[in-house]
Order: sequence, then C-alpha cells, then structure tokens
Amino acid sequence: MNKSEFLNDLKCKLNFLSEEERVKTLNYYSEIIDDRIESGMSEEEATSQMESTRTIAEKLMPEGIPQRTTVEKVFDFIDTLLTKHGYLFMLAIIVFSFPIWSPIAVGILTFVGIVFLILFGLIALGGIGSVIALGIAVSFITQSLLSTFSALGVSMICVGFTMLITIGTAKLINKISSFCKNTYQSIKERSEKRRNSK
Amino acid sequence: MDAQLRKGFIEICVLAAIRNEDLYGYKLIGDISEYIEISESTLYPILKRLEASGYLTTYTREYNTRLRKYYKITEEGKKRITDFLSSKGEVMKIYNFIEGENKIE
Repeated sequence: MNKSEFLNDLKCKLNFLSEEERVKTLNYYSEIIDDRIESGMSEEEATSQMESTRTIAEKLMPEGIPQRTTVEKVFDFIDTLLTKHGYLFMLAIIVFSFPIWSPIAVGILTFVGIVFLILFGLIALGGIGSVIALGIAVSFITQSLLSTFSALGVSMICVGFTMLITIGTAKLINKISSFCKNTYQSIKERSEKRRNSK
Repeated sequence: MDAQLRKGFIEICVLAAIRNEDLYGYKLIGDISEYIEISESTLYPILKRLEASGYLTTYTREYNTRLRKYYKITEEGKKRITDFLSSKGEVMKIYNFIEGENKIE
C-alpha cells in the first residue's frame, strides 16, 4: 500500500467521525508517514509498519467499544458459526438456503442494474437534449431572436441537468466501490486471523 | 505493564517530552518509545485529550513544503508534571504495601 492508498482506506474506515475530526486524523497520519519516509524508509515500508487502518479506527471509536456496522455484525455471526460448526456445515447452509437467498440476491442485483440503467439513460437523454436544443438555437439564429434564446436556455438547462446526474452517479459508484473494498478487506483480514489462530 | 497504568504514564511522558521543546508527532513517539512502548494510534487520542484538557496547545509550521503540527506545553501542563512528581512518595507507599502483602503468603 502506498501513502495515498493507506490514507484513502483510513478515510473510509473513519466514517463515524465528523468531517473536521476526520481531516485532523488524516493529517496526523499523513505527517507521520512523511516523517518516516524522510527518516529513510520507503513509502511501502512506512505504511506497512504502521498499525492496520482497522486498529487505528477502532481506537478512535467512542469508549473503545467497537461500533460494528451491519456488515461486520453479519461477519461476526458467520465467524462464530464457522468456529462452532466448521466449513462443511456452512457450505451445507449455503447450499440448502439457496432457494431463499438466490431470489433476494437476484432482486438486489436487478434493482441496482435498473437504477444505473435509469441514471445512464438520463445522462444520455440530457446530453442529446442539449445538443438538439443547441442545433435548434443555431438554426433559428437568422429568423427569430426569441426562439434562439429560448432554445439556448433549454440547452443550458439540459447541460446543467446532465452534470447534476453525472455527479450523483459518480458519487454513487464511489460509495459502492468503497463498500465493496471494505467488505473484501474485512473478509481477507478475518480469514487470515482464522488461519493464524489454528 | 497494565494498559490503564500505561496510558496514565504516557500522558505524563508526553508532557515531560515537550517540557523544554515543542515537538511534532513522529519525534514525540521516537523520544517516548525509548522508555515506554507506544504506537501512533495510542498517542493520537492521548494528544487529543491533553489538548482538550488544556495541558498542551498546537500550532502548525511549514517544513519542507509540507505542514508539521507542533505540540506546546501550557502552564497547566507543567503543573500536571509537578503534581505527578510530588505524588511519588504516595505511589511508593502503595507499591511497598502491595509488595509487603504479597510476601506474607
């Protein structure tokens, strides 16, 4: 992990802090990493010898009681099942509950798909609309000033609308990807921990 | 060392380290860790608490085109060190008591 990856990861895990506190914390760790690099470490060394972003986040949680997210609670539950009953039991559960979770999974995926389809559709629509309105504005330029300006206005509105939707979509994608990253990281850490404890 | 006890010691160690010279995070950790085990993530909440309680203040200064945060002790902080040192006799008495009780068995 390089410095910016480390700080990004930490930023995601500090989502329970206020914006101000989060910036302060990130500044603190950024400074320490810079100082470590200056004292002769490589960027990779400087971040790898740091405590995990998870530990850092946990120590900042109020009263040290780890605040578990819903995903982590689910993982905790799976962890206890695994230690109690082993992998075969879990596999059996996954196989036999297939009729229950598969429609839910398909439902969620379809919903996300439709949302993105609508968003991309709107972006395309806004883009095409603005170009067409601009075309109309140009074609009316010698005939009617009023029509030109109203078409120009419509084109502007379309551009604004497209930008708004694009920003929203980008934010949504960012949220989903950081959620996936965190989940993946969590699964990795947990499986490593379980392997080590054996 | 007991975690609770260590936390208390680190607080005073931080104040002692910046007693005569303002320091930045990395230097502070280096100086203290010679005497007591400490990590960045342990130090951070302690610094925050010491600042909130008025034992130290902070300021940033540019260094090599980046910013460094410096920690500066306040009069309150200096008093805290003196108070801690003056309780040495009391602490030793507690130690002796615990040691004595432990021997009887």
